[in-house]
Amino acid sequence: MRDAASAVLAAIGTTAQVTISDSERLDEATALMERRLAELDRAASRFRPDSELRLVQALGGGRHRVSGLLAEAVDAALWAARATNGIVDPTVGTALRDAGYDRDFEQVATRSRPPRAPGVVPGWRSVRINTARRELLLPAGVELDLGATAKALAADRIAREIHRRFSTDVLVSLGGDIAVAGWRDWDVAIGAPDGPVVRIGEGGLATSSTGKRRWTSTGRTLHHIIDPRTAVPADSPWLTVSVSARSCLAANTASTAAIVLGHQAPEWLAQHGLPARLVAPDGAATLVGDWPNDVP
Amino acid sequence: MTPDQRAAARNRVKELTGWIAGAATALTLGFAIGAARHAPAAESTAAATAAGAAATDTTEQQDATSSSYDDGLQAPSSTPSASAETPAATSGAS
Repeated sequence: MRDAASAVLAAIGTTAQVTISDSERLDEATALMERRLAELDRAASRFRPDSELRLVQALGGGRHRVSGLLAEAVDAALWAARATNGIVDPTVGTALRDAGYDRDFEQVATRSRPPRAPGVVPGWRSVRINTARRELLLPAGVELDLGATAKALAADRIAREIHRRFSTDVLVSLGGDIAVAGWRDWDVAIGAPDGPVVRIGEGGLATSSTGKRRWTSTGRTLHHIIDPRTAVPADSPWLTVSVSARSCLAANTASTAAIVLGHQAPEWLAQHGLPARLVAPDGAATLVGDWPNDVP
Repeated sequence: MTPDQRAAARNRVKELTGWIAGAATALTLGFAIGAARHAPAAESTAAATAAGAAATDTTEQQDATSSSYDDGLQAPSSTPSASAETPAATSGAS
């Protein structure tokens, strides 16, 4: 990495990294990222009992006035659902809880509770958001999981804000979902620090994996990516899918959809013109679009 | 133009300026009263708090109104290329 400075901190149940060209602004950029992530956690966390999302859901079904930040997070999640025709669906909250992922992942991985029988995912069309009026229509019993899309949206926003405020090139990584802003290119390892490296100059790069956030319960191996059609973790032929897109949110949405779509994913990604790298459990990589060949 | 005509013109400008300022004030008050009438008390408080926060940082307000996902599921205009450099970050690390 050339002439850049980085900071890493733990936030929103994952690792947050900010890397900027202007090292003198690193402390300010890190503080800004930390503040924005704390705001996001208070608004949209599925695990904090005092988060705005949890409080709204506890009120029961109906129309609720919400903060601008929660409205944006719901809007982004519903956008992802529309863009993928429901393959990425924020109403999988109950299904995730039934599978056992009902608290910060560190606690999920170290306990043994059998998964509950799968129910039915209510479907994203049952939820409405009016961002101008900050009004959320949420049917009774619907639990939202905004985690992935909210995290990606936050990466995009934080990168843009740091770039604008401090006039510096910036890379923001939230749990490996990456957004960049500025003029320079960034080199990013795929899947692991010693993985193949690609250079990106704009937008976002996200990797979804069935190998991370994975736990075992009563002899079954489970992971965090729910197929909304079955309400259980997706039975995918891909261990990881990495996608480069115009934004981190778009990249995250596409990589998650590709895990769920399984064998149809390469064609779906190609139809959207998205460069992608899909890796099977045996390590075989399938490249889509303009994704470059690995450098040996 | 006679001195009387100039005085009349000055008065007319003052009247117009006053009328415009008055109308602007009335409109602002009207909007404020209308907004208060249409929002329940708790929502008004929340809206006021949000408005206050936005007023203290207009750049954040600009961020909130420009969605990063307006472009849809589109590829970046510059596609990724292979690199042998030391990476700055890892995608999918956690």
